[in-house]
Amino acid sequence: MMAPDTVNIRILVVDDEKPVLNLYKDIIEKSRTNECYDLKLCGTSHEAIETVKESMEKNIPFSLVFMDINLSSDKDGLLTATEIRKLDPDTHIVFVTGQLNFDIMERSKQIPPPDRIYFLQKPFEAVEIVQFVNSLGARWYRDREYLKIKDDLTTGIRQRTDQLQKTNRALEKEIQKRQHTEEALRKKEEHYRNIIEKNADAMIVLDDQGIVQYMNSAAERLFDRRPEQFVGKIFGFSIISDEPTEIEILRKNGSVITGEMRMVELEWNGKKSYINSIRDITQRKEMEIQLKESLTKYEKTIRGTIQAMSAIVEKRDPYTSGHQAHVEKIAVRIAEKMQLSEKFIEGLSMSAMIHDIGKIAIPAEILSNPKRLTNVEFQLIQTHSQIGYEILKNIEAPWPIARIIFQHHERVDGTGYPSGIKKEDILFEARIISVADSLDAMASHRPYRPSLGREYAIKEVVKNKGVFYDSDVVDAGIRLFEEGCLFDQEETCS
Amino acid sequence: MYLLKVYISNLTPKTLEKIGLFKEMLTAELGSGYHLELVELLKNPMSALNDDILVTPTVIRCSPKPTKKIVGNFLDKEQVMFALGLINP
Repeated sequence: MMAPDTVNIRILVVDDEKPVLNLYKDIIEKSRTNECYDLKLCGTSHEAIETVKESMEKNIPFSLVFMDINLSSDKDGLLTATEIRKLDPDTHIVFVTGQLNFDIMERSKQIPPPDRIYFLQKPFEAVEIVQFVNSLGARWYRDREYLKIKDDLTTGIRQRTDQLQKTNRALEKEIQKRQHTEEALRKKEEHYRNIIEKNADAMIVLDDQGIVQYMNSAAERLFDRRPEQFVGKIFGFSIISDEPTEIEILRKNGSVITGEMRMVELEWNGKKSYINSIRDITQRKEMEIQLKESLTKYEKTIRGTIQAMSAIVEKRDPYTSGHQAHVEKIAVRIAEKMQLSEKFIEGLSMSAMIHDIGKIAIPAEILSNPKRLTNVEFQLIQTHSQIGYEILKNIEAPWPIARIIFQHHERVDGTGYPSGIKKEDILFEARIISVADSLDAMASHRPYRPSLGREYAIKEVVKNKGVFYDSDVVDAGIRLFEEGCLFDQEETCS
Repeated sequence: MYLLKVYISNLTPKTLEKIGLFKEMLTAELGSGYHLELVELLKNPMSALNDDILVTPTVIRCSPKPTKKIVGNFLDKEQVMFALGLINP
């Protein structure tokens, strides 16, 4: 704390006697050790009040006031002091009087606080004035400093409290927000877990190293293992793909089952993870095998029936004996060259084998007539496509055999029969048989003419490529012919 | 040198074809810097037990450590090479 003598201690002396004011001046000026005392002398009540007012406005208040009680102006010392106290609640007031009595003491109580009111009996000693100046000046300064510190502290505490309250409110909001987020996350995760746990498929959650984090009940059953035997083990990382992967699962009891596995990425316990869902398809696979076996049996039965039908047709028409078998071989070779599926080739083969079945209804004399056919006979022969369709249309088969036979004389330019349909409207099997049929017909002997030769046959087909015949089919036929593999005599070609 | 094992249930033409493709994939990426062992799970149950094999097909990178494992499809070159740590991401 700074010493009071280093600051301005302001003293106001109010007395209506000029000599007394001069006495104060002498005493105080003589007693002071430096220039820090500021003395103001007033002769009237009004002057004193105005001086205090001005000092308060300038924020240079008086530390103490020496106030003569018996002022001759309109207000006596007590009334003047009352006004001064209203202006400055902190200044010390020393009432100076020659007749200190009970009445004065009582009236002075109207000027609180009592610990800032003092009395000095006239005639006073210089030392008394000096003591008042020193002690009250020091006290005023201490009180002022104390108030200043208290104010600073109060302001500091208030600011800090405000800041803390603000921080608290922000923290509370943040906590609430986090609680809501955590709750939402917890619910979301619980929802996920429920979906995963109750899923009928086995589900395994893996971390990014392929280590098992979690397995559902279905996975326990599928793998025949408890979570404690599974969680924490390296299951292995699986590839993310749109298509499921087929896997075989080794169960604890040594049995092997087939599963279909898919993997997707997800967030698990806040970390990037992967969920593998595995569906047991063992039964489905077994059923597929059984179905394949019965389909193979069924196809064998159909093939047997078709071979029998083919034999019947060729028995009636010895001149074209072997034609259907030749067409079947050429058609199959073309299809294989074009890398068509096994299933397609199987249907093509059976259709080709009986493509002329409709000829069963054509009189044998016409079929084996060595002369050129009349228009009527030719029209009659053309009905064999329709008749073939009628014979086969109600037979259930995995391939559209009846329709293939119906269309095998159609041409891609629409000039064929019986419907005159074009291009892609003609079944692809029928387009292949059409080429094979023409090649074999031209390359073989007929009752009404000798063979035209294989070279001629292939040239004719090439000539009508894209007109009568499908271009891709002809191209495959050309490649086979160039390789010496088109007709059935080349044994090394199959 | 990478030591790899492929566990399969049993040898079929289809699995042999897949392994052939896998070898082509490895050779294209690693040259001769790998050795691939083919293990039939049902004929080598003890080996499967030691390697913690739960499903087939499984491919394991046995060395260098750390051991890495993939299950199911092992023909997606990029994902498989990355998962087995044979290439950098």
